[in-house]
Formats: sequence, structure tokens, C-alpha cells
Amino acid sequence: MMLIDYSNTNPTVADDPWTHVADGAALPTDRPATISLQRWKAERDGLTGRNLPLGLRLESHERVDEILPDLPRFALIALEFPNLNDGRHFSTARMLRERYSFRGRVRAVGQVLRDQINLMKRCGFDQFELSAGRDAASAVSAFEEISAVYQPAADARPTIGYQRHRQFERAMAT
Amino acid sequence: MARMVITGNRLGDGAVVWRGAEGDWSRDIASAAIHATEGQLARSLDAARVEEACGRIIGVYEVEIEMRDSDILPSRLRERIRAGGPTVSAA
Amino acid sequence: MYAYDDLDGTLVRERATQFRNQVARRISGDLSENEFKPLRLRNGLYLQLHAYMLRVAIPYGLMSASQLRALARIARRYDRGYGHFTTRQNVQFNWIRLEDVPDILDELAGAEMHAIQTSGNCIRNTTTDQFAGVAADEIEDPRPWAEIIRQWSTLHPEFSFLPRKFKIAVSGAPNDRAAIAVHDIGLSMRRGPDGETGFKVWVGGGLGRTPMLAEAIREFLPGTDLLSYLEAILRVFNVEGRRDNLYKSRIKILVAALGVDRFRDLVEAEWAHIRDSALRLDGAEIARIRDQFAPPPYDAAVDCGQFAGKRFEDVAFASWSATNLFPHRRSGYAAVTVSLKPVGNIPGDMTADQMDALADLADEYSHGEIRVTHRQNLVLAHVRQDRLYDLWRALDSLGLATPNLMRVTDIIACPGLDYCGLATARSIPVAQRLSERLAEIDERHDLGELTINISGCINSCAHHHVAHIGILGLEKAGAESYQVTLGGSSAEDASLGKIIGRGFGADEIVSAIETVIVAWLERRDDGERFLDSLRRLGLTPFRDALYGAERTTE
Repeated sequence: MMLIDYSNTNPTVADDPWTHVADGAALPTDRPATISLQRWKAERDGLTGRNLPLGLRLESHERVDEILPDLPRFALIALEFPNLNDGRHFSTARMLRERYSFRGRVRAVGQVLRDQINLMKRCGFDQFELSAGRDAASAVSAFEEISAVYQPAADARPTIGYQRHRQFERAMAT
Repeated sequence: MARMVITGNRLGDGAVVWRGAEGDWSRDIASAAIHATEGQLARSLDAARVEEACGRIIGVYEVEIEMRDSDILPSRLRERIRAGGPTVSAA
Repeated sequence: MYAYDDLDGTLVRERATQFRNQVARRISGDLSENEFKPLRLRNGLYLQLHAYMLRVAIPYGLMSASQLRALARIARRYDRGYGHFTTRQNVQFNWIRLEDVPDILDELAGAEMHAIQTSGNCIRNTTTDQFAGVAADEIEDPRPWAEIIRQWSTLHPEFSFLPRKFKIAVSGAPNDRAAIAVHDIGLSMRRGPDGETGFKVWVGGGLGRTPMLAEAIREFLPGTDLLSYLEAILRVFNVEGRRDNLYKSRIKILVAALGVDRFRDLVEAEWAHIRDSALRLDGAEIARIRDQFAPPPYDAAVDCGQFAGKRFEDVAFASWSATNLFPHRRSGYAAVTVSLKPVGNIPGDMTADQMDALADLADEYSHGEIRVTHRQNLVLAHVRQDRLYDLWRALDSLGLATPNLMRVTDIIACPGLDYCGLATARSIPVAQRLSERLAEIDERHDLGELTINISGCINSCAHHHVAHIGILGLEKAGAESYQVTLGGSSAEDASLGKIIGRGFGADEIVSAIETVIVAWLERRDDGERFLDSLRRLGLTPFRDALYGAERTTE
């Protein structure tokens, strides 16, 4: 697995301190871990004492709506893509960022294609698990391929409409 | 078992191609290897799928054929059209 | 028409470059076919029966003469010298090589064209009325709104992997020429209480395996709220739409499963969050886009006596004028339908030579503008009436003047099993034979408005469910079997055709349709349209005529 981290100014290939723990297995004491939504709902109170960062992993049909008040507890939310066609979590990521102001990491896991990560970034993902053996430089360059965007999303990229507006204002000012 | 040949499309130009006995792919159905048993077909399909994974051929599958004189003719209309080209032309 | 600024152009060029890289990575093996397929589909590239097929977008069916020439160049250089216009106002090339697509996209980008999202589970070409901007019955020109939707939906990051394809249509007039009742979202323009522009919003229409007419979810949506409302609908669809079954994943299934009231509640709840966001359209941007669709400089005084005179003199011209002209909002002008349905020919096909010639005619007679219709025809929308005769003669010499708009030989047919990998039967040969046979009958009996649509499979790309006579080609016991439906309509009186009985073989279908027509003529009230007779008489006389003593269940 190759982890692309774009939580800072530039995308980089990063080491991954996180691990996902299966339901029923003990949580590691030396590294941050993600758990399933099911486990969170079952063991919620028991997990409050944990010192290390905790993360949540959602399957494609699962929603954050069920656990909104708990969001600040998570340092990372991993959103799973079971195949290359299931786009539900593009919406989940946007809601996390734009509606619930989630500030932790939002990570794309599962079947993630290098050619999707630019779209994912626009929806608020800032980490991407690509399958191993991929060319890192090529992966990172995926973010640069389309600079012109029409519609507002979860990223701060100025839209074409916004740029037109600025051009107009500048023209009016001269 | 009905007699079967193996087909696919060429990646670069989408052309319909047929798999010959040596694992060569040709546009001419006459050069297709004919399989008379399940075993023969399975072995060729396995090899064809490897060729598919290596990238020059896509959409590998088997087609039932019959012999008309010495010509190979797909049994199903769809496969006959695929092999022979559109049945229509501009007036 | 809309002209790209630098920003529009940048996006299309970047997308073409991105696809060039994707093709290179596919050919080198860096991308597997499984990984590449969703990417190439999002760029309108299908693998069909014989070769790749590229579907080029013609946004809301509108193109310039120079764009039509670009299509001619592509047909000549990269294909077999022709293209096919579709029921969603796009154009298809059937013999494309993957290796050539990057160059094709670069050429298209140079003409402000692209193949973005003409396929795949994303928002497709937003379509509209072929007479937009010139129809007298229009509330407002829908094209600026179609352009606004085009921009918002292009490479929308959240909606690029929807449960299924998504089609939006906009109509600017109460007479619906955009088939909004059978679209995933249909928008019908309305005036609000203060005279502001807005839309009635319909959701959940669609054909295919389970044809359904759309349901109204909002009586009036102000124009400024259009994009936020669309975003709310798409978000609900993206999250709630079924992903487990390809045949149950369109939004129509979701609307039916939830019921329109519950669906509306979900949309309105989502919309409440985003109504006042950056998606709210401001007057300046709407005006900027509207200005690009200003009418061309029409001439003041046009001598219409000329036109009347020529009709009197030339019977063939009179006949064409009676069928292929649409009344223009500007006095002295007409909108001309260029028929791509010569009797016995392939519906919707056009050669590169015809494309170039029509581009010249568009420049000379119609301010350089051409539209594509849902019926696989073209329109020259701004023709002076006193020039119609000269135009007609030129069209006639090109084989583009068949006087059959909306008549029985104006058949809509998908490519069918001759070209399409999804098809279960051929449609083109049936269209050709039917056209020839029915042309004779039409000549003798003046059948009037009678639409026939032929789909080569259940996906119904020829929209047979909304044809007066619909034909669906299936495969039964290894042979082609054609099912007939009667009574469909895609206009504001939308209805879905009813299956009339067991299917007909390839050698029976033409005489079956003839039998239907003969049965109708025996009962037709003077000058009555086929559809009206059918609605008056019901199916029984037609069933009896076709099946006689056989009784079939529906």
C-alpha cells in the first residue's frame, strides 16, 4: 500500500502510522488505530480512556449522521470504496468538511484509483491509500492534471466563476 | 460440446480478433483454433486470459461456431455480425 | 451561442491531456482494462461490436458551422467518413481507434468541443428543445440555463461515480419538445409571482427496462436557486440510490421506492443546508451567459410573397414547406428541419461531405448555427422565408430535404445489433424496409404525424416507449423478435406505449406494422392523427387485426 498524504501544502508519499483493527481484536497500545462504526457504537464509552489517536472506518453504505456528536473524538476517518464505481463517500467527505467542520484526516481506502484522487481531494479527502507498486511521482502529479474547476466543493480552489468575477472586477477598476 | 473458438478485441484499435492455435491473434476468423472438448477450450481460455492481462487484447470470450463447407461460421446472429461486419450500408 | 473564454478552454484542454496520459498508461499496461474502463467511459469511449465508438458532446444540441466542419474532419480522418446523430443531441463515430483518441480530443478541444461525460455513471449531456430561442411559444430561451447546468455538471467531483447515468433536460415552452417527462430531472421554465424566471422540477423519468414518467417535486424553483436544488437532488441520489443491482439503480427506481413525497422531503431537507451557498447564481453571471445567446441580427423587411409564390409554383417545395418548417417568433423567418431520414437510408447518419456542405449552408442561410434534434435530425433555425426556396434546392441536391418531419418515414432508430455490443436485435434494416414500405402508403393516404421508434434492445436508446408506434428488438430462441408498443408520446401529453402482444420475426415485422396502419386507416376520422385515433379507439382493433383469433395476455 502506498499512502499519499495531502494534509499540508504539498502532496507527499508518507509512512503510515495507522492500523485498522478488526472487531473483537485488541487495540494496539503503540499506534493510532481505526475501528469500525459497529464497534464504535458498541464500545463507545469503553474507548474514552484511550491516549492514542482513534479513527473510524466507514463502509460505503455507512453514514456519519449516526454519530455526529462524536466526530471530534476521531483524528482520522477512513472512508471505504469497495469498488471503482461506488461513489457514495464522495458525498460523505464533503459533508464531513463542509457541514460538520471535521478537521481531522479524511482518508480514502479500498479500491482507490490514482485517477480519482484529484476528485477526492476536491471533496475533502486529504489522504489516499493506493495499491502498492504504483509510481509515486505519477500518483502525486494526479492532483495537477485539472486546474480549472467549475463548481465549488470542499477544497479552497477558486472556481472558474470566481475567477471570472475577479477578472470583471479588475477590468472595472481600471 | 459444440465447437468453440476464442475471440477478443485488439486494445489499440478495437478490431475483432480470433485466437489461433499458436496463441496468435488474427482478424481472420478462418485462422481461429477450433476447440472440440471442454478441456481444450479451458486450456486455451486460460492462456488467452493471460494474454488479456498482459494487455494487447481485451474482452476475451468463447464463441460457438459451426462449419459451413470449410468455413467457420459463428452460430449466433450477434457473433456473425461481429465477425462479418454491419449488415447494412448507406443507400 | 456560448463561446469559451480562456477558463472554459483550459478545462477542456486539460481534460484532453489527462486522457492522453490515461491512454498511454493503458497501452503501456500501467492501467488494467478494469481500471481504464470507467475512465474511458467518462470520456464517451465505448467498445462496441466492431471497434471503439466515440460519442462527442454537442451541448444542448447546439453547434456552430466551424464545429460541424470539425466533426467532418474527424469523420474523414479517423473514421469511415460519416457520423451518427443521437436521440440525446450528441454525435457518434463508430470506427474509432483507441490510439487516435488523444489526437481526436485535441482537435475537438481546438473547436471548443469535447467528449466529457457522454457516457458512464455521471451527469450526461443536458438537452433541450431544438427550437430554443426561436419558438414563438417560448417563455424564455432555455439554452443559457442548459449552459449553466453544463458547467456545473462538468467534472463535478462529488457526482462522478453515481449509481447510474444521469440525464437532465430543460424545456423553455409549455409545448414540451425536450421530452422532460422521461428524464432523470426535467426542468420546465415558469414565471414566478414577480415575473422572475424559474422552473417546475420533475424527477424520476426514464425509459429502458422499467419505463416511468417523471413526477413533479417542486412547482416553482427560482432560477437563482437552480444549481443548489440540482445539487441537493444529486446528493440524495448519490447517497441513497441502489448500488447492488444495475437494473434498479436509476433515480426513477429510488423515487418510486420512497414515494415522491418522501423523496421530496429528503431533497428539500438537503437543500435547506445549501440554498444560500456559493451555488446561488448571481444576476451578473446569469446575464453574462444569457448575453451569449442573444438572437442573431435578423433582417427587418422580408418579402414573404416570394415564399408563397414559390410554394405555388413548385409542388415538391410546397410539400417540404408543409412538413419541415417551424414557425419562428420573428416574422419573416422560419426554422428549417434538415432531415437525416432519406427513405430507405440509415436514420441519423450523415457523411463528412454532407456535414461540410451543411456547414456552408448554415453560414450562408442561418447565421452559422446548427442544432441537433432528439429525432436524429438537424435544424437551421434562422432562415429568411424569401431564401427558403434556394436553401431547399441546395438541401435537396445533398439528399437532406426529405419532406418527412414527424411523419411515418421520420423513423428514429438506434444503431442496434449492426453496431452495438448491448443490442439483442438489429434496428437499422427494419427502419430501412419500413421506411420504404410506408413511404408508399404515406404517399397514397397522407398519414400525417406518426412517429415510429425502433430500439435494438431493452436499453431503449431510440425511446420506443414514447413513440406512437414503438418497436423493441429482442432475441428469442436465437432469432430476432420484435415487440410492438402503441400509444407513446414524449410531448407534454407524455404517455408510455403499451405492448400489443407477442413479438414478430424479422420477416414479419414490416407487414405487422402495415397491418396496424391499415387497421387505423379503416377507422380514422378525417385528418385525425394516429395517436388520437388510438387514444379514442383503444388497442383492441389493432390487437384483433394483428392476432385475430389468438388471444394474448398483456
